[in-house]
Amino acid sequence: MSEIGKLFTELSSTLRKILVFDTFIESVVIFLIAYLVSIVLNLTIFISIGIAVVYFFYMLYSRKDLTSIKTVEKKYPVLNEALRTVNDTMPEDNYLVNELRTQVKKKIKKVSASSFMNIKRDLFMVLLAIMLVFGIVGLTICKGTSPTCNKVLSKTDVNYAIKSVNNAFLDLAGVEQDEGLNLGGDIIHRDYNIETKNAVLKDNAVANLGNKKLSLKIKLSDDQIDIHDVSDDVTRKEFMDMDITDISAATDVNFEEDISKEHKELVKNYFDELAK
Amino acid sequence: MNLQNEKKVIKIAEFEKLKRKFDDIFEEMSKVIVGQRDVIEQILIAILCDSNALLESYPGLGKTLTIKTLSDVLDLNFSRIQNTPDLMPTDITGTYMIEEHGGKKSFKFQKGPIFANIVLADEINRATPKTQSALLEAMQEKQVTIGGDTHKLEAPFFILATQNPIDQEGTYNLPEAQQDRFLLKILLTYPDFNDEMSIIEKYTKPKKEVRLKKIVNANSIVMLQKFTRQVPIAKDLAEYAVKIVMQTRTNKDLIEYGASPRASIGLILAAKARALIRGRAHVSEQDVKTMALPVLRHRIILNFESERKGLTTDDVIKQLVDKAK
Repeated sequence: MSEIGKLFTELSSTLRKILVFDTFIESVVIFLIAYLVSIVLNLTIFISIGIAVVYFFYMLYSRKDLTSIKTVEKKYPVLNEALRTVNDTMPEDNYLVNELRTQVKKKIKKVSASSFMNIKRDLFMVLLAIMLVFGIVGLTICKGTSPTCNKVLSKTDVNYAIKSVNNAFLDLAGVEQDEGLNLGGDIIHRDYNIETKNAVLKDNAVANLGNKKLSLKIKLSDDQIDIHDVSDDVTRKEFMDMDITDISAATDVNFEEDISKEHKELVKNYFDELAK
Repeated sequence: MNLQNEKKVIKIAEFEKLKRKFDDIFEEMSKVIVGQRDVIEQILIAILCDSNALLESYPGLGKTLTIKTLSDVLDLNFSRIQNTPDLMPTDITGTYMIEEHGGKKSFKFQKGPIFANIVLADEINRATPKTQSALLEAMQEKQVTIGGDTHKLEAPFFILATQNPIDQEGTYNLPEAQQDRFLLKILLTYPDFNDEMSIIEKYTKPKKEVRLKKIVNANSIVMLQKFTRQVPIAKDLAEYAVKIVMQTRTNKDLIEYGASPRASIGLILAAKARALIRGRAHVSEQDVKTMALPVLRHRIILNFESERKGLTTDDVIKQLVDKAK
């Protein structure tokens, strides 16, 4: 290969390396952002990896023009048109073509690889990546150790979101909660793999509020009513008269759960059913 | 010129020196001609492309002086043909005359004014179509055939034909097909105020003899013509030039008849010559854009719609140049 041919090969190889480097840094940042979101939404890491890989290859493809000679010409107007002319007339050999090659060889010495790198942008990307790593580490520690954090995160759980949306739709449609919740319950049952044969009114959603099986007790003022023990009319009447907001549940293994309004209603109905 | 000579000239003609030669030509021309740099450049381009040019201007703008001065600076033979309706082809090409030597009569070829390096065919549209054809044939073939004998014209050979845009009565306008044979149609416009003041300053005072340096010679020009063809052009720029020419054929809303492939060849060659004159060893986009006007303006015929809109040929070409990008 001629000297000028080698020069062009070297030039395009340098441009390709810079493009791969820039796109890689961006993909890392994209991965970290996606991973952070997936932690919050309890999604698998493979989604983040997938997004980053797709981004990397898509950007490489869409930016393939950046490795062309025109990029160098744009950056160095002194080489404008001359560089691509030399490239297009590689097989030719005459006085003017050789003269142009000599001129280009002289001028191309001023071309530096660093001029094609956006140092500020790259630095910003690296800093962003570091910050995201810290964010991910912090979030993971928080999730593993703090119950409050865990509680907050569980609100952002995808399943929770699906269930809320589902309930909202059912409310709008005016469908009986029992039937509607059965649908949500099925989903939860699949996710948590919990025994459901003793579910409240066969409603898995109530039984599976946490990821543990609940033994529900109804708190009323200072009294506690075990729903398994209710059979007399007096207790039943007391229970029927109480406000649904006063009902809460506690597990016998110190597992507490916030019961939403509709679930409290269900528990109340359950009790009513038992008492009949 | 043989290969050995060529190599010798190449050695001498370093690129920087080559560029300086053109600067010197313009400098020498400016001793006589005020302004008109573009016109001089376009005439030089036509010479470097080993082609011919059609110059259209109003009378009194210094056409003859320009071409005469250029032939002096280029050290080329110059002749002028004043075309009239009664001008015969043999008045241009030359004819056989009977010569008597010692009682013996023989025919001797008397060369016409076409046998020069630079020929100014003044007011070509005043000559009859027959005479025009003889001129155009010589222009195309670079040779003339008289009485079965072919006479080669000396290289470099360049015809600058002029046309007057006014006073068209009794003229034979060049058909479009004939006009296509000219590489460029150069328009010479009126000088601006400052240039006209300089002209007055120069030509209303006691005459001073101006000594012009001969910058190049016939051989150098032939060499430069070879160099012109060697100027490399990037593929995308060549494509751009062809696209411009092709636009003239597809834009039926503005143009009735478009330019031929000869126009594409001419445009690229002219762009190469302009690059060389401007001291560049490659063609630029600006070369193509600039040369599109003189290369195409006599090769396209606008339709009624363009004329109704008041568009000139140059306006339409400018539109096409932008559209083809």
